[in-house]
Amino acid sequence: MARISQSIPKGEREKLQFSRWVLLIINAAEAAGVGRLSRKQLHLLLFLSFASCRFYGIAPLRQRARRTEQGPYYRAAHIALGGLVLSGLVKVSEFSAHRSSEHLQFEGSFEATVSGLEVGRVLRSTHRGEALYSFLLDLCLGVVEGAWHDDRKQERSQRRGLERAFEQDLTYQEALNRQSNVLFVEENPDDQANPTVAGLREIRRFLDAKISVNRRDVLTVYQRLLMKKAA
Amino acid sequence: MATAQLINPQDMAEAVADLSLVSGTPHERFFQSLVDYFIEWASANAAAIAAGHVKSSQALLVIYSESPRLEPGLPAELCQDIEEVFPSLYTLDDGVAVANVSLADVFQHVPSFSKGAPDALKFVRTHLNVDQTFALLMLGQNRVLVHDAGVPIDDWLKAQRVIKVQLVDETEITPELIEQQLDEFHNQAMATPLASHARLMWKIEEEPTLSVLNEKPELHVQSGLVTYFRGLYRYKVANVDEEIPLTKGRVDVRISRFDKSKDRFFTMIELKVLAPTNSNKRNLEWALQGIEQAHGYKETFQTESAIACIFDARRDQSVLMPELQTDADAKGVVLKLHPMEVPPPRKPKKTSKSAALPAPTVAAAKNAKPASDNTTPKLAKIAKTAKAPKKAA
Repeated sequence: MARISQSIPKGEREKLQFSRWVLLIINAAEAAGVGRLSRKQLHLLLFLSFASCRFYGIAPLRQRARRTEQGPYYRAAHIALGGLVLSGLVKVSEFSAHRSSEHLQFEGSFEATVSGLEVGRVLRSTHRGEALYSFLLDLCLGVVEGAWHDDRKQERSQRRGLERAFEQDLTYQEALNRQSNVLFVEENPDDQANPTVAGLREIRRFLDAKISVNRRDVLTVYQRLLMKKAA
Repeated sequence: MATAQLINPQDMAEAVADLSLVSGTPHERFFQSLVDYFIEWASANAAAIAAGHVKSSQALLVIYSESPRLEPGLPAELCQDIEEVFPSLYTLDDGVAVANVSLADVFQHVPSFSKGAPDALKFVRTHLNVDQTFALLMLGQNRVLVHDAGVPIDDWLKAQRVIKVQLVDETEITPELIEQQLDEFHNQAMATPLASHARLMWKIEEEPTLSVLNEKPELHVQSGLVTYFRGLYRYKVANVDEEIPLTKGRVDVRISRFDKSKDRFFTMIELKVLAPTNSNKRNLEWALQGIEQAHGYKETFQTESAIACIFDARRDQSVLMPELQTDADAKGVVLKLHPMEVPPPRKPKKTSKSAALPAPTVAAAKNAKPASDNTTPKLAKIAKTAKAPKKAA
């Protein structure tokens, strides 16, 4: 019997993969204690996840973010979010539309639902799904323990905005400095390292000489450095 | 240039402070976070403890949830009046709370137990079920009683997995002490089929099928062992190497200590479980491989001791393996060979009445009462099994 993935056209398969990535990142944010994500935070976190996933041996998806006044924008995320919200797997609040002739943009805040968590657990029952979720959960745990480390006694609404830290990501900064409407994570699939992955490896080398760490701890230190830079 | 600005030694050194450094499975990381909380709570409340304000029965029950907000795992009547808790204030020390893996999200559902631990155990019996992961922090006893998902509640109420909180200072840690602690872990958690870890490792079938080990027994021991060490030491010195390739493969558990001159030393522990389903020859090879791996770790910088910890779960343990000690001695590896009692299969159930009853169906299982039925989790399990898709590549 043919594998399902081979029976689905490539374009459709990529949409499904993107939807899985978006759902799992929203679930991971919930599980780690990040909670609700604004549209800008979500798109930045998607960029950050694509920029750092090779540190976990996971290849980023092919879709690229566009540069907009409102930050990085994944058209595929817009479509994935629409499907996830309409099917009840993601909750949207504070929704408002943008008047953009070029991009189908809206603002809103996105958070997990019980149904979304249940579907996420099904998606995690494959080895790839579990590996992806483990990475995304570590990333989000790193955000809470790293970027919010100094704010942990504060109410969530009073904590510093995560987008300020995410915007300091090395790959994002490099992408912004290019004169292009497309924000590259890596220019071609043969690139096995971008500035973010190189930075994470450097942190790893530094930490290994001092204490016993795992990749999750490296992501946490990176988040602390990002937030320090943003301050 | 941008990389050098962001990632520099001074900022990295500052960013290392207070890392959680938990490792292992999510459930074990949850337990480790609770142990850390216990230690910090005791430090923050030292004056109250010294003044005798913490009774030996004082108990805090914390239930693990991937989303404490959306899936508290408690009946609706206990979710009406909940309060968000900030663990960093160290004021949470009684009642029932639901928390995520890192304790970043904590909600208190029951403010206190009027009679302490006895009330907590009654709460567990009434409201929690076999598939939930939770821990009871015995704040006046320096112990954490943890429940692993899969252990029947009635069994757990009789015999809990205990994490002692002992606060051994890192300057007191020696390879000899670690060896003693490995022996203690074996006695407490691994020696008999009902011991706190062993009971999760065995798949006990009905006669005449013999008992077998579940998949990846070493991973199971690894996670439990690192949590055990977490409770013993004051600082976070023991961890699971989740992915770091060392000179000679991967170490299962490593413990680092600093001596008085701040030099760091490692004790590496390689775990192997000898399976009842394997031949003696294959088990011998597996154990020798463990010794060889431990020998390899000795080449890692700053490693002062390497231990091959072999758990012997063979059916016939009268067949000795003298080659192991000889090989370990020749390679300078400490060998710990710990027997595990193999559980006998269950007796067949009496068939007089039960044979007349139809087998439970998936539809019946789906309609079964899902929670609070602590003593008969089978139907709920069938439903879960029926829904769970197989692992795919």
